[in-house]
Amino acid sequence: MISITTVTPIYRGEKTLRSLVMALDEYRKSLEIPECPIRLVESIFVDDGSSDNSAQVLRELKREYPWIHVITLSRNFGQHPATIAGILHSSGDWVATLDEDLQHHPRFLNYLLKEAVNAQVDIVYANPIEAVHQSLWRDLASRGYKLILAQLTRNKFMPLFNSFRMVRGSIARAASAVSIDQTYFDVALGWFTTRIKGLKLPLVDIRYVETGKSSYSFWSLLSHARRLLQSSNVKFLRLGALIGLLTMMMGIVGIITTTVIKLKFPDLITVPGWASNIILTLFIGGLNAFLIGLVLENISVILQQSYGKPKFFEIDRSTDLIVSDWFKRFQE
Amino acid sequence: MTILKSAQNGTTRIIFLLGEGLIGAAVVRALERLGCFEIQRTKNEWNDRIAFERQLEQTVDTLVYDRINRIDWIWSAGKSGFNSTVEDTTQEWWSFNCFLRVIKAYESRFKNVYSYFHLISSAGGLFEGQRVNVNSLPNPCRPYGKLKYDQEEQIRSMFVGKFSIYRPSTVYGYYRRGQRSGLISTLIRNVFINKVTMINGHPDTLRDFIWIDDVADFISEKISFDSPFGNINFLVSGKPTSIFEVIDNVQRISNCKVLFSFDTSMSNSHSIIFDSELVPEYWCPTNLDIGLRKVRESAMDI
Repeated sequence: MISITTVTPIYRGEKTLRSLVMALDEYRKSLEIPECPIRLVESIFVDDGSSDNSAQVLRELKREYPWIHVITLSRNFGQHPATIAGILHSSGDWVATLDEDLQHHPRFLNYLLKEAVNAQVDIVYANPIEAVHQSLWRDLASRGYKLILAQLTRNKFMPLFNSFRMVRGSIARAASAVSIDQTYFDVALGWFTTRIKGLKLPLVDIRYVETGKSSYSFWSLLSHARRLLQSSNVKFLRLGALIGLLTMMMGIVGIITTTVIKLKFPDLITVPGWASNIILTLFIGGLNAFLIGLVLENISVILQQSYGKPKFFEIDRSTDLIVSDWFKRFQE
Repeated sequence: MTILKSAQNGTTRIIFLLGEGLIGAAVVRALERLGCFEIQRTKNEWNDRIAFERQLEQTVDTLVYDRINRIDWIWSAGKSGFNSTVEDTTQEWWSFNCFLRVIKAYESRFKNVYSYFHLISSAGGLFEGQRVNVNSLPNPCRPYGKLKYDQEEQIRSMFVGKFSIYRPSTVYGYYRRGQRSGLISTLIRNVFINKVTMINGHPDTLRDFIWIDDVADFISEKISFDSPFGNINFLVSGKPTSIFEVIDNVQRISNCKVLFSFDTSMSNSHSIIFDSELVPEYWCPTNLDIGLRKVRESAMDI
């Protein structure tokens, strides 16, 4: 049997929780058919210090649905730490993370799993077919933000990042185990696998469409960007070092040229000292930039190690075939 | 074997514990914290059946103090473990039955003394490879699990309504030199002496780790206060933890690299997962991170 665990971080979700659990229950029952090798074994809800009545609603739901597990965090830690806490309590072969507002509907879980096993990948991110916020400005900003960060970090998977994901259980747990409070969870997942895909699904940010308010403020997006850059191996540091090296070399060429001119053609020098000044600035500035770039790159490597980047990780994908076969037969 | 005594509210209670391994020793310490005091301690003659039986009879015969109201018998003994053979478990099964025979003989002599049995079983042995919930049934896969299952059955039939069975999951505790230690304490100890730890399983093998003092406190409270817990108690955390997570946490708390290798040929590499519904009410198991720090302190002291 291939088991799925869902993990949902909850923050002020009392209004949508019941609908979500009912949708999960429906999905759970849909799998309970003969010969189906997949089971939704548990749904973990992490109450991330909600200030509304979410805790009470979760308690009631737990009584009605015994396959629900509730974890209560002592304060509001944020979406990623809450997701990590949930994953560290999971036991499924696959772990699906989804938001509480039904933007990530459980009916899509089979699509994600099917994509994962058919393509033998370890992570499938759900990506919206159309503009998720139904607001041109908001969607362009979101896309642009991800593209800029992808360029800065040279992480080609960054545009795929989404909190609706299906992750192989072992990788989800390992990435969660190594993550510290400053680690960006999706970057940590990328330390364990590069078999990552996106799947286009009809996702809509209902909260934004209805209220015009995003769950992310400008400052929280900035904080996200900072953590993303901190967790990633920042490639533009290398670019800085390269520019420094080139500038320093230009300085060296300048020194040689000026010395030759000074010795062979002194008449060509109309303003004495000007060229030497520029050349020295180029050389010393370039040298500084190059050395700082090297130091920063080393610090980046050390930081990544302290953030938990592993040397290697083993994986077993042998059960994918069972699920893949079943999906084929089920379709027929 | 260790005998402890507790005198409260005009009643005298004797606690007879057989086997001071990791759990047994912790239970003794926990009972002492609750006001019991040790009156006798003898080293067991495990290897000589005749000597063991005689030693047991003689020790039990000394329990003739005035006004004993109750005796709690605790079986926390045995050298068997997950990798034990049928021969090993047969030896333990014999010792266990010998203990029961001696108890029954004592009960028939002192009928006015209330007798209660506590058995430390093994959740891992009984439910190996299972995803365990309230409806799960034991299905031992190896001699050790079968032994625990038989012991439970024996107790159920011989001490009807007067027994408690404790099923701890993967117990970890302080590092003690010369004592059998589990994965966590071995891992932490080896970090400090730069030794490679051989791990039976995969990085994603899931286990349910439980701190030794939580187990001991639960049992000692059940004995001392007759806590209203059921006859069968799962002492589990309800949180599956991968071996990888343990290694990472050990590295973090020790600030050292853990040297390890996986041996996946061993048959006990299956995950054992316990539903959080099994966790006894009002019992709050220690967080793994805090438990690891306690083990680290004990390993650093040696």
